[in-house]
Amino acid sequence: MTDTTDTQTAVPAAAKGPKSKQDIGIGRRRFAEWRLKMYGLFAIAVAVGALAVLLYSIVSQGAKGLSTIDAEIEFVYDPALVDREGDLVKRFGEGADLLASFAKLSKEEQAAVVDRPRKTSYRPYVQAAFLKRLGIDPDDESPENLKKQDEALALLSPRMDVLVWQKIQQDPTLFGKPVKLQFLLSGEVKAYLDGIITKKTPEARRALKDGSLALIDKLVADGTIKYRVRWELLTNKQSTDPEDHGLLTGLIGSAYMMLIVLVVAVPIGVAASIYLEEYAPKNQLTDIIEVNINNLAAVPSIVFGLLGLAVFINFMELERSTPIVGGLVLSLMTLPTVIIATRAALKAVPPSIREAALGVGASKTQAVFHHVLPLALPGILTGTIIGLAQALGETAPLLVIGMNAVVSNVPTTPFDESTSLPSQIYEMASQDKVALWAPVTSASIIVLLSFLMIMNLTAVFLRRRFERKW
Amino acid sequence: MQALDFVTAPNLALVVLALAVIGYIIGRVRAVAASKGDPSSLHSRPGYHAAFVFIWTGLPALVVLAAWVVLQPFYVEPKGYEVFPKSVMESTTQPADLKMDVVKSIAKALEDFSPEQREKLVLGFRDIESALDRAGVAVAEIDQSYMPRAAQVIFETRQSLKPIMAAVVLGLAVIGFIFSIAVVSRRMRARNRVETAVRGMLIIASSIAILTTFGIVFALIFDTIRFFSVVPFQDFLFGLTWDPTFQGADEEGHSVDSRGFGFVPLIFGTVYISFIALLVAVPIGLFSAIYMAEFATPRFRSIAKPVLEVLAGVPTIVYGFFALVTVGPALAEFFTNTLGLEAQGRSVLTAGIVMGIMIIPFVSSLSDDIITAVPQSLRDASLGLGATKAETVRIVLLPAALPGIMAAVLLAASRAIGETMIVVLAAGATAQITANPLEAMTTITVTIVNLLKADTDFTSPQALSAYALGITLFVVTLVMNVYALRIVRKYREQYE
Repeated sequence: MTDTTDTQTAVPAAAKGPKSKQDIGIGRRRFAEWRLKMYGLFAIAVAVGALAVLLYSIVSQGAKGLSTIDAEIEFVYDPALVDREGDLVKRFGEGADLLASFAKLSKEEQAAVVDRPRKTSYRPYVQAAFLKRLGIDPDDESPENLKKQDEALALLSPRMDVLVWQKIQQDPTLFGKPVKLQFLLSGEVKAYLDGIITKKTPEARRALKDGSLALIDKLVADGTIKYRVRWELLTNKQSTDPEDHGLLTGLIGSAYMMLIVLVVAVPIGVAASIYLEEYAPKNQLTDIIEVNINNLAAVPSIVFGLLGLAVFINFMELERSTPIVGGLVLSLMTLPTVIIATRAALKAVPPSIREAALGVGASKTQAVFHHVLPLALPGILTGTIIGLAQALGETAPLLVIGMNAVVSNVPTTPFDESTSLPSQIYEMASQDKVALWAPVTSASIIVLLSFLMIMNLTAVFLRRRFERKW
Repeated sequence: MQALDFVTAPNLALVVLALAVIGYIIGRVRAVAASKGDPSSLHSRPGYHAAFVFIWTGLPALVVLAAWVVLQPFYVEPKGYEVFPKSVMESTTQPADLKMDVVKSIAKALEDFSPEQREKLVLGFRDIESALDRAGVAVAEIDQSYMPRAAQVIFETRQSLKPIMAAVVLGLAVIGFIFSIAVVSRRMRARNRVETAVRGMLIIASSIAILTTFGIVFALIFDTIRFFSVVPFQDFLFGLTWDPTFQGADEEGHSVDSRGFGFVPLIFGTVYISFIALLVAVPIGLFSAIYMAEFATPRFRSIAKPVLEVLAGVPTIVYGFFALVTVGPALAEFFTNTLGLEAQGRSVLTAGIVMGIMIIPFVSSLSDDIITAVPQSLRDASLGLGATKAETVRIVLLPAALPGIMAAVLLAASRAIGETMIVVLAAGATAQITANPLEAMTTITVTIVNLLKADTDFTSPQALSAYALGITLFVVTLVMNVYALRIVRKYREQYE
């Protein structure tokens, strides 16, 4: 040993008792053992700590993204606005009762009338209604009132005119009526209330100036601005602004892709495992297949994206950005996971089951399908769910096949353009105004992680509940 | 024309399946009838007869249909090439198959067009330009002189093949249907035949895993060859700048500038970031593994191991976001304010550290397994000679487990090299070679994503270069994986 010289020189000084009680450096050696233990504990603490910081950072920011604020404001669908092109006036003559005559029109004609003014035409009316609610005169054009107006309008979401327009598109009978609407406030307002922007931030570097911030404080104090749960995160489509961004297209796209993985990867994977485990002779060919499957599980996911692009999009000419392509790519990726899990589950079924079946006259196939497979089912199910969870979180291959596009229509079939949950998170994370988008992004990550957690807990539950020890 | 529109591969498959289901029912009924009320007189139970009919009706027809879909382009495309002018066919700078992709996209768009629109295509496609654009055709790429005609030829060939395809596929299904129903009888060995078919299908399923590997290699190789026909191999492999901003060839289709396709900065960034990741993951992973394998109580182990494995279950996009908004700014602030260095959020260090956290379980789990697999006799011998546990770990277990641990590190490294989302969000997109870990750098995977994520024209050299990068990535990780898995296998055999 390297330390022998050390110990030997130390002996004469330390040795008091009989010679057999030689000092072999036991204290130092125990300390070395203690040190190694501490290194290990420290390493585990670092890893667990990193996980904790990761989750804390997501949850603390995501909590902000899970709530939203709005202000209830009365908006009148003014005949002068809705009949901007003068269709009704032309038809019923100057001075006619527009509301009464509108009510007489057929549903299609009503829809045509409310469809005429463009979305942007609503802006001055929306702004006026907002200013009125805050007690600011929208018509007074004195310099100090104009400043007040600007400060107030900075709070309003630029998306509001579109939302007001959509509302009457859905229900033309609102024409001429006062309606109580939940006005959406801009993402900056929420950022200020969440403490992402503070009054200490240099005024030049924020969109909301001091006057606007003071106004927000006042509105929160008098209860005009109210907090509520942001259900729109699940029901809205994508948007250019964080305040009304939603995951709907991504949720649908991801759901379709999971369905395709379930239909494609699971049967093929289970069938492949049955062959390899129960039928295949041990030879070089099956050896190659086995090595191949293990390697496929470790191929970088983005390579599968390239495969999908070359085979499914360029060769088979399927549409880009569709769940069918994404689902097939993810199926190929999940296949090795399913195979490895299924083989382990089949291996765990004791040979006595097979022998008993064969002994009473079952054929090989009957023994496998009637006896071994049902007993292996819980293990297969667990592996499948874990594979699905992996596929759900996968992003890189989906970017390559264009699942990060902005989709204007809600997809109804797997052949429609769509996005996916993780690629939407990617798009949000790569926005320019990172700080403004961070809460929504984190909230979306919470949605994704919740799905993953549910899937993994189901897998754990299935394993605990049904796993048999032979 | 209407009838032809109905003849698509998915529709044919549905018709065949419907026929097969009918066959299943009839087969069952006939088998029951053949037994004349005495089930034990049948060789096989009625379900097997039904499955027999189902397989004979559906399987041959569907196999032929699939083969037809795969093979059709090899017959159709040469017809289109006949229309191509000689100059295009012989061009070395812009391979003809790049042009063919445009032609095929026009031909596909034609399927949804009315006959009038189809006529306009050949007369002068400008009239239907917007319709083509909506159908996803790169209108700017269309060469008026031959492409519309070539597209027309391909479209018409495809249309003329449709009735033949329908006849062959449906004919096979009907023949199979009639034949299999005819042979249903008491003594027919339906079970044996069905079991043979089932076994065949199991074999096919297990060969899909192999096919995927071949698919990856072929898909990547084809487009890589196309890429290297535009950009010389040595410029790619040894070029020091990555800046593919130019627009392919010039007006005449000559003199392509290939200097922007230098691969060196990308591989440098990839290796650098992976190295930092391993610097983080290997010590943490290894020490955790040693502790869990040799010192931890079973209870501690049963909690700590799954918790560590959660790190591998978190989607990489979440790590990427974490790196971008939490780790990056924190590191930048630390280096700027505390050390007075110039630092930014997106850097090699940020990406490396976060990626290191992600791959901890890859190192720790496998190392743990490997250390646990060292035979107890080695431990007992060492402890019996008076060594402490720590000394046993250091002098006996680690040397014995070394090959396995190396394999674990290799697998973790290959995971780091292929990792995409963390680097896309946190490493930046600047292709440069520098030793400073506080600078932004780019990797192979980031470049692939940036080349392809936009709705680009997939035949440009930029898009094709993504395949060259992809195959490099595939080969590098494959070699590492094969080598690592072989070590693990050998190691297991040695101790079993």
